[in-house]
Amino acid sequence: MTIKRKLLLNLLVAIGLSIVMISFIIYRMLMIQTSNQDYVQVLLTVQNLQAETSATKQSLSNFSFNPTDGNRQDALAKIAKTSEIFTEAKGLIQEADSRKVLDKALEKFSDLNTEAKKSLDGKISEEVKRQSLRSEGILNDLYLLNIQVNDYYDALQEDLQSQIQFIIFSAILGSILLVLVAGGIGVRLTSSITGPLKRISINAQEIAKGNLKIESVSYKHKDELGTLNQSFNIMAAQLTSLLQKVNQASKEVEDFAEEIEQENVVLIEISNQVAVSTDELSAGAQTVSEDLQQSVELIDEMDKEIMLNLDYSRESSSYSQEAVIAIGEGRKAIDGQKGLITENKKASYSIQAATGKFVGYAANIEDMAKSVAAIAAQTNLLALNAAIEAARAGEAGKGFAVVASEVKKLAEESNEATTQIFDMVNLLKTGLDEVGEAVNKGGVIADEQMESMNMTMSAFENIEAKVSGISKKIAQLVGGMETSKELGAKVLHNVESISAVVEETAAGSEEISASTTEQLSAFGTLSGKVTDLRKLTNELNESVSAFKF
Amino acid sequence: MKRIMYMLFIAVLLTGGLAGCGNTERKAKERVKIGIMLSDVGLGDQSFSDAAFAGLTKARDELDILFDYRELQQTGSYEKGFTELVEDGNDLVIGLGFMVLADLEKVAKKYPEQQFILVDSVSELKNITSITFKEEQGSFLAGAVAGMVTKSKVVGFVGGADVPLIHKFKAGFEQGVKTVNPAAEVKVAYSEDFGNADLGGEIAAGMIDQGADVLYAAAGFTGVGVLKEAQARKKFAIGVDSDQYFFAEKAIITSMLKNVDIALYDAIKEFKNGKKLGDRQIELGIEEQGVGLAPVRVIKLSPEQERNLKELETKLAANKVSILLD
Repeated sequence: MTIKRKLLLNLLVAIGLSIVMISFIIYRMLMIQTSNQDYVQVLLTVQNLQAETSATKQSLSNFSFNPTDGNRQDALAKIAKTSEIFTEAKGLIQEADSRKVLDKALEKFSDLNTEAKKSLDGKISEEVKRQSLRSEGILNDLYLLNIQVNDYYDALQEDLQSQIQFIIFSAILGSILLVLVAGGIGVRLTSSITGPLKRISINAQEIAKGNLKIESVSYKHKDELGTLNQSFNIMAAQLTSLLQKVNQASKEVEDFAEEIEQENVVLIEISNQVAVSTDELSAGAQTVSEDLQQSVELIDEMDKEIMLNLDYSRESSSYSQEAVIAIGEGRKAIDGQKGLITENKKASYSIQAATGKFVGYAANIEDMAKSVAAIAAQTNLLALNAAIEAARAGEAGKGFAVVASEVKKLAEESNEATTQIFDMVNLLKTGLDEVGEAVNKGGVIADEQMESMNMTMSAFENIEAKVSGISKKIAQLVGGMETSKELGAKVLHNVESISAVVEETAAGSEEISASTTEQLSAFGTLSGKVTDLRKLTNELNESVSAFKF
Repeated sequence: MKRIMYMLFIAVLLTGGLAGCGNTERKAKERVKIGIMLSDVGLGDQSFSDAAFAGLTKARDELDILFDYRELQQTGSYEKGFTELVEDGNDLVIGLGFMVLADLEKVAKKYPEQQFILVDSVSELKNITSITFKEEQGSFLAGAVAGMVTKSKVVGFVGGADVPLIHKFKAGFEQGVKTVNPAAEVKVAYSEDFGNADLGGEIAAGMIDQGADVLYAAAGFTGVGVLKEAQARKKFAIGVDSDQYFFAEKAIITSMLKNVDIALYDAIKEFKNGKKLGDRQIELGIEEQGVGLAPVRVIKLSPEQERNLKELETKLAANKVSILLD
């Protein structure tokens, strides 16, 4: 049941009980009203009957003492009146006991009525007196009747009283019960709501304070409160587990962050190394590439060279054959030269003699030139003195001065000419030395040529043999060259492939390098983030440490 | 829990309601109920029965008891009357006169737990309390008055029956007369009928004829005839049992009071107050106010006579006068 319905039901129960109680009271009131309403009439009638019987008795007594007609009429009237009231009483009294007594009294009265009338008519005073006394019996019965009706009336009154008391009592009791029941239910209901609410509230406050070590409220009803409590418990449990997880996670994060930091440092080092290595690799690759490029070019050139060599080799082959022929001719020429060299030797001796004569001549020129040089030096010294004397003479010396300067000029020119002669003589001497030497040498050379001719002759013989061998070898070389050419092509191709790969490698390395750089910056960022993370984790730990769980 | 409380509440209301309805039944006050079997002519005898009736009426009015009565005319026999009274649940059943003795004892034996009172006679049964009167003492005073009043020195006594009880009247009366007037003669007659006034008148007339001028009757309703006759013949009479002045206001100078009413009233009072009457035999004399004289009317006693009478009464009360019973 939901709390709303509970509260509503409680209210309805209270109202319903109130209505029941009020209805009950009204019903009882109505019952009282209908009961004993007209019983006073019975009382009055019985009292009236007693009075009238008494009066009858008195009137009979009066007659017995004074038997006049007036008293007789009076007595008869009283009897009639009493009789009337008896009839009235008979109509009113219903209760069995009272009815019995009334009947008894009435029977006696009937007897009395008959006897008295008889006596009255006969004017028998004694009998009238006796009847008067006998009416005491009726009065006794009426006394009893009166007591009975009074008792009955009292009982009715008591009953009324007790009914009123009962109504009051039951109203009070009902009210108390109502208050107790409604209050009890209300209190129980409200406490069943506020109790758990209070406890939940206390728990909530505890949780607000950060204490998650709370005793969960036991509330089994399936109402809003139950749902609240259940949700609250689940929330608390989840909060606890969340905080535990957070705490654990925080610690893990912390550890992890530390690890990351350490790892990061290592990583950065590694990354740096990688960067360096990559750069080196890149550079290496570049070098390799360049080298390969050069290799390709070289190989290309080599190929060309090989081609050329091939051609040359072929030419060489033909040349060597021609060489063999030329060698034969050379042997003939060498023989002719041998004769020429002998004649040359004879000519050289002649030149050697002529040169000796020429050296004597040159020495004479030199002696002559030395005499001229001494004259020129004297002249110059004279000219100088003349100039100094001219200057002392002043104006008179002017003409002399001019002659002195001319003389000087002449001395200087003579000196130059002497110098030139010395140079010419020196040159002649050198030339003559050289000719002598050349002639000497020519002789030596001619000797040597003779020897060389002999050697050349034997050499030509060797060469002839060798060239034949070379010719053969070159033929072989041509075959090998062709093979080389093919291999070279292949090598070239392979090298190109390698080059491409290397270039790719280089490019890759550059990318790696770039990536590594980025990675490094990323590591930097990461490190920063990890630091931030640690800060956050610390903050989180502080926050979580506020909780007890 | 809640439902139980509803049930409880409704249950309380219902029981309350039923209890309220039940309360309408009468809860009559418990009163002592006394039944009396009137003797002879019953109510209106202006004597024994009326005296007893008056005592009961007084007890009824003052002691708040209830009483019922039976008369011989109704029941036909005393036994039946007593049985009816016992069966009606009366707490105490009273029988009047020696005539009822046999029937009363019969019924008393039949209902041994029932308490009875027998007035004017004595029974030995355990459940019958006997109340008798020293009629001789009252009669002695009546005789003294008669002795003082008589001029002819002849007085008459009319007994209802020639039985020991009536003899007590006679003896007391005779000795009373003789005490104050030793010369006086006392004429004695028995009517053998307690309910015949005419017979009483006849007997009285005879006595008056013989010179009697003061008549004393102990004969129930028959005695009334005696009184009336005395008045008619301008003689004096003395009533019996109750103050019979009003029967013959010109003749009755006094009455020998047998205070049955007082005796019964006292006995009822005792009974009502819870005392067991048992088989006691109560004898009431002047001292106990069981008997006495009514005020002297019609004539006037001299102071000396009054003093004399008073003296006799005192002596009787102190039992200083012995009355010889035959």
